[in-house]
Amino acid sequence: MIRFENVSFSYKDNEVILKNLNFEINKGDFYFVTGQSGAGKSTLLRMLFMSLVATKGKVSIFEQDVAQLHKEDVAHLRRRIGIVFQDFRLLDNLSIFQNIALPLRVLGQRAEDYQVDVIELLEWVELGKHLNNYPPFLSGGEQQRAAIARAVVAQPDLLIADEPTGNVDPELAQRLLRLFIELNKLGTTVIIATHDISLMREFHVPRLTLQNGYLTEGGYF
Amino acid sequence: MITQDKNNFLTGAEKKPAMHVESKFSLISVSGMARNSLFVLMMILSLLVSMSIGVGLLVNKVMTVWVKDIVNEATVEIRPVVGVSMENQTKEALKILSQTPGIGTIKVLDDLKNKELLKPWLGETDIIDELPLPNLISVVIADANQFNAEHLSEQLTQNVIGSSLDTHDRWQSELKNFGLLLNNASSSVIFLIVLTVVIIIVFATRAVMTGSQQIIEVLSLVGATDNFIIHQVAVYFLRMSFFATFVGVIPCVTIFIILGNFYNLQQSLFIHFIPLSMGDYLIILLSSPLLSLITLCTASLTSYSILKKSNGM
Repeated sequence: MIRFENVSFSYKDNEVILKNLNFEINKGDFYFVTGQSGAGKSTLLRMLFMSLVATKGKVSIFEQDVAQLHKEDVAHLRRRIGIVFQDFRLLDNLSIFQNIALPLRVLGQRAEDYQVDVIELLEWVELGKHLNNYPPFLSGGEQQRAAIARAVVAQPDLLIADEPTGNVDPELAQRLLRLFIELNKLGTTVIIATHDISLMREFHVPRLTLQNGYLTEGGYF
Repeated sequence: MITQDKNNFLTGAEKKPAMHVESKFSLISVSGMARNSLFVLMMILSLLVSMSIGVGLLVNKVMTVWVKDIVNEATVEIRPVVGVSMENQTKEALKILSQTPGIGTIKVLDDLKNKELLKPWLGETDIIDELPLPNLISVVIADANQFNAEHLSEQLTQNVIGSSLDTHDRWQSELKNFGLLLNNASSSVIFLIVLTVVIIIVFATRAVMTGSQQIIEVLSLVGATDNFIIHQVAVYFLRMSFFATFVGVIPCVTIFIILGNFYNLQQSLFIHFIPLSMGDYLIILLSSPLLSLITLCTASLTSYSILKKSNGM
């Protein structure tokens, strides 16, 4: 499903952020991406959702060489990917319901068709009473859950989450992780960037560890 | 643990009835002040375009009526000549005219009518009574194919002293030129306004795209294609433009209806107001969707060029 072959990445005229990465993630896998701050986790995730293109090597997502893709192809591939950003990226001028419905709207679904599903999902992440509220009026944890709901609403083949438990209490963090596991059981490939050691200890999933731009494939805790 | 009930959206279990939510929403929008200003601007430009179209149509109608009035008419003028009886010369002219093929009615304008014709230029004054006025014979041409103006002019010159034939050619030509000038002026105004609309929409689209940077970025990340984003921008401008231009066209139509029905200027020599037809009103009303279409195309092309420049990654 995802294949990195001798992949390096650097911003223009800057030092190399990712160095010679080689790994493969198959359909239905669940991975943690770990590493210290500045190790390149976010850069790696951005390459996974095709926001950045490798400066060297080959990245394949859904068996397609990202470097060869046109803008339209990237857009169509992204419809199969759910992304949870560290800074949530909820749109302040849209209600929580509308934010969550965004991927379905992009997929061309009609409001009448997705309304019930979105409300159910919001109730699932315990935001049912906030569906007509706007993101600035929600707490960090609530925004986090809304961001997760938006990422999973279209039932993506691949879920990428950048520090999805960073703004929530440990109890909620565990619940969110269980949500990801449930999605994974339904066939979604999940990749989570985190430096939450306790979470990694509790949930025994393989991890990819980044150190100084190099990838060290870790074992189980 | 996630309960089965909470897991409905994944498992496709029975769906609950929907709560009230604002499920239909515009992704691209402009905040208050800028939106209102743009609306008013489009409304004013639409009013100007529709007024220009209306004036153009009116000028065409008036010109058509004027030219039609004079194209089938000719005037024989018999100027007073010392030692020559104007009455006799008039009789001779009438005789020639009655024998000329293609002529319908012949009417000698009396002194009173002659003086009335001069009143718009000279006003109510006694000087008119003292002026040596020519005799005028109004000729209505019944059959333009049979009527030979050149031959008639020759005959009158040879047989009637001080006479001349005016077929109103110069008037016709000047009226046509004047009408053309007004039409060109009206078209130029319309062109300039449309150009202004295009420029305003280009700037507005750029502003909207810049202001919606975060929205566009998120849309791209959830899989929106450029076409989807362009569609959102274009639909926003189309809606705004359609309402604004429609609101702009309504006062214009009202003005022309009022002028056509209540403002009677038919007495005036120069301003001969003719009410616009339903077809004319339709043309004026069509300026609203036309301007909206121009707005749609401009917004689409502008957003397309902006998105094309960005790498979209």
